[in-house]
Amino acid sequence: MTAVAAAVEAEAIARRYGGGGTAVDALRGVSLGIAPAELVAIMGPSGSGKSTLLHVLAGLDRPSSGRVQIAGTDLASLSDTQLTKLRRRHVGFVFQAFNLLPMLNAEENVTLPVDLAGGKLDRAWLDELLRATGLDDRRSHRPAALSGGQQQRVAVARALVTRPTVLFADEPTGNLDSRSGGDVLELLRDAADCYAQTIVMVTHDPRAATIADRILFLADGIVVDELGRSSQHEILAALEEVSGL
Amino acid sequence: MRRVALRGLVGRPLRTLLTMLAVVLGVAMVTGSSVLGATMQRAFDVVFSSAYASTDVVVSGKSVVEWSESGAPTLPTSLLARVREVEGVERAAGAILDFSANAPYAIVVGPDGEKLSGDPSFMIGFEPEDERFNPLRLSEGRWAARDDEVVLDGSTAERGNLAVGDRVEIGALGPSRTFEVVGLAGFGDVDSLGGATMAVFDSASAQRLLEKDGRLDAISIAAAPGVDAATLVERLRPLVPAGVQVQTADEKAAADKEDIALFVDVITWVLRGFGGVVLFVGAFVIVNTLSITVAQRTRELATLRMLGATRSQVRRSVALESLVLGAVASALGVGLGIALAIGLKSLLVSFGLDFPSTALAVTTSAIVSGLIVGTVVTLLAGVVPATRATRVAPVEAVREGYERPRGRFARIAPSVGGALAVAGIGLLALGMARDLGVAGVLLASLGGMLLLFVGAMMAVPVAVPAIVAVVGWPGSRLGGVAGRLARRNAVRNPGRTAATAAALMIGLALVTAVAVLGRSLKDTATRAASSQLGGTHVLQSDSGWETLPVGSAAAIGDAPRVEALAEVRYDRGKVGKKEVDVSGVDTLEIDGLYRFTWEAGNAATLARLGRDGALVRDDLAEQRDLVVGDRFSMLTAAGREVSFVVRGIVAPPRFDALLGHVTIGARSTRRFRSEPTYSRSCGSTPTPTSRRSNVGSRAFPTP
Repeated sequence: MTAVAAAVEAEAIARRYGGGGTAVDALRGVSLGIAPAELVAIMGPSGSGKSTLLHVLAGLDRPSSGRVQIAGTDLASLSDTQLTKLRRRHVGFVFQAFNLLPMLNAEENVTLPVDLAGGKLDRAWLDELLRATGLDDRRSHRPAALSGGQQQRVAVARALVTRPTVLFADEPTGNLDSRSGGDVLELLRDAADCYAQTIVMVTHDPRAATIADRILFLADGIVVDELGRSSQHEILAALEEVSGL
Repeated sequence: MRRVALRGLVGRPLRTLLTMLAVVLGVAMVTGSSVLGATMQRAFDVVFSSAYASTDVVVSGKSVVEWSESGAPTLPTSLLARVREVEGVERAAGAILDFSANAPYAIVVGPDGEKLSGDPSFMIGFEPEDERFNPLRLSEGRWAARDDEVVLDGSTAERGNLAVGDRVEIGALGPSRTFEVVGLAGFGDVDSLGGATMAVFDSASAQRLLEKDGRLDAISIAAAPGVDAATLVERLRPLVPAGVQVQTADEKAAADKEDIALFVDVITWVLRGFGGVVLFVGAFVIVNTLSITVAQRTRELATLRMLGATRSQVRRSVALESLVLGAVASALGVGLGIALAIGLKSLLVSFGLDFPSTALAVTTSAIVSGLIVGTVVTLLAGVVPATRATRVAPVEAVREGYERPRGRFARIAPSVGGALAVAGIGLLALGMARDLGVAGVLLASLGGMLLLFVGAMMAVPVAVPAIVAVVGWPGSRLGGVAGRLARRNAVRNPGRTAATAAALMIGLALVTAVAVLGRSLKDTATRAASSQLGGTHVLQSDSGWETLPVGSAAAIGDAPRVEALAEVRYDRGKVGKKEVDVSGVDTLEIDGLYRFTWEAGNAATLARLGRDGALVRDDLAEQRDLVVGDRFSMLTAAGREVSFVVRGIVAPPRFDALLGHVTIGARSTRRFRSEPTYSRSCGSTPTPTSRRSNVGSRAFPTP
């Protein structure tokens, strides 16, 4: 871990669903730190707990034990409203299914987080984002008139518009063909490089993980392996090893 | 956020429209009834003002009570001559014209024996040369000038397919006589006023028919040029006896209008009631539809939460939706209501309830109240789904099938609902068991029903699995996989199932309530009648308002197989500040035919009633603190004070009591006459039923 204060920090988090004999331990003690401007991928076979980890880190789910901090704030202590305010300032989210609002056009979708927070829109930043995502000429299109790749790029721009402390991406290429998926990955990598955006991405796609600075492998609710920047081949090998455990 | 809510509505036009439908209809009913009411009111304004267009001042008797049988006091004909001598009176004419009395009704029978007169049915007497004062306008023929001639209003003539020259039978106080229709008249520019019959005679005939010989109901006066009506009123006032009022034509028109336009209010309130019910059902439909919308938009709402929307932003967005829905629906409803008023107006006309044609009175208050009522109801209905929307968790944007922790309210809702339902039932029971008066019973029933509905809505979800298990059994047996899925689905979200069924529940409950109410009213009436009635029949007019003509009791008494009968007379008087019903009974015959429930006194008391004895109903006795032997005074409709001694106290059923608050001997009823016009003594008449001193009459013959 670097000397700089972590953007996201997790300490021994565990998450148990249900109780009694049918209890399921999705996470069994995960500790990690994400440094600013770092792009981290979380991988693991189905049921390894990677989605749960993302939800707990993003404050969507509360851990059964352990502690999560975003930008130095302990999430456990926050009320629903305080959590919403934290989300406004510090969290961006990219969904697997894009989750654009169908009644708003591309630009309105992008500016929605600013509108909700009642903040003032940085026009230059919006233009920069729309240019970078290649949506400049699609501003007034409704999501229904956009391709899947374009929709996900709108979603990425929406996640970046508030310059959050951390951007969480949940299988961002899961619903895309490989070409559009590649565009989105390139966009995320550029965000980390050009805007120093911290990104935590959950994916099962080894190709997607190649853009990550660091890859965490989860199995049975604990971190079992960690790689630095790796090739698709290396990732695949590690994943196979993890799955075989 | 506002954009999300509004665009969402526009993006689902069909659902938005269907959601609004119930509110549109409810508001349309409410607005339509207000507009129709205002239109009718304005029409009457116009008619009555034009009726008195050539009149400046009216002198007439003033009735102390409403709906009396004997009517307002009459004026002596001699007053007319004295009025004519007053300076500033250019012309004055006497008239027989009393719109405020409940009787006597003219019963008009057509050539083929069919009753043509409407309800009410006024007898009017005017001299042909006093046409300028006559509120009616001749549309055909001429005014009646002889004692066998009559002018009828257009709609009564139309009912009997009558033309000038035809003959009709008309009866009022005495036996009916034949009259020739010499003219047709209308009120203002319409044939009739809301179905009322008007039979116009010459003054002398009307006086004779109504037994008002030498008397007048009113004197119409035209002021000389340059003389102010108000000034003339001041000059005339010292001339008139007590109980007689002098009014300017405008005041008189307003008073007449009030008497006649009562039915306008009734129609308006009935329609408004329907509108209220529709809105109530509409509110449930909106709760349901918006809740479903919220459920379907779970992922959208969760996404908004993830993007930084607070709970209150989500709540406000759904509330905004219902506000816009309500406002738009109300606006549409107001528009539809105005169209509805036009339709209803022609419907009423086709029922024979003709009223003057004027432009539709679309008042600001009708529009504003429609808008407010519809919007507020919709907004209130939006509270439930809006609260539901705030419970959507952000994680639902990424996770399917997330089970939301149940809200605090959801956990206690069944118990609260159960408590409300029990309270509702209690209130209903209270309304039935205790004597709370009409307003109290209505309030208790309405409140009880409202509580019961809302309580059932909240409590029923608990019972849904059990109900579905039973009701869904045939479906799951016969419907195969689809049937089983349907059954499981109905149980999955009991609240939703209950809410969906609610609109139907209310509809059915209302239908049942009306049926039960009708049935129980009928039963109560039957029970009340049979508990009071010792005889076998009660004879009264089919409308219940019209009185029986003189001689009918005697005629029935002479019929074969009639063993005994007793005539009952009615009028109204005033004891203290309370208007009371007074019955005059045949003291020799009534016992046995009518079952008295004695609290003080007995059957022998009847024979001792004499000229000033009275039986008082228990509620009046309690109210006025009366016991046997006390003397109390009563004002007659004409304003005369008469006094009676309490001889007995009776406790008949409250509902549909056959006798009034005060029961006196039939002969004493003549003390209620406006003026003592009878010289004949009652004691010497062969049967006491052969003449009525008072006009209302029911008889109790026994075959």
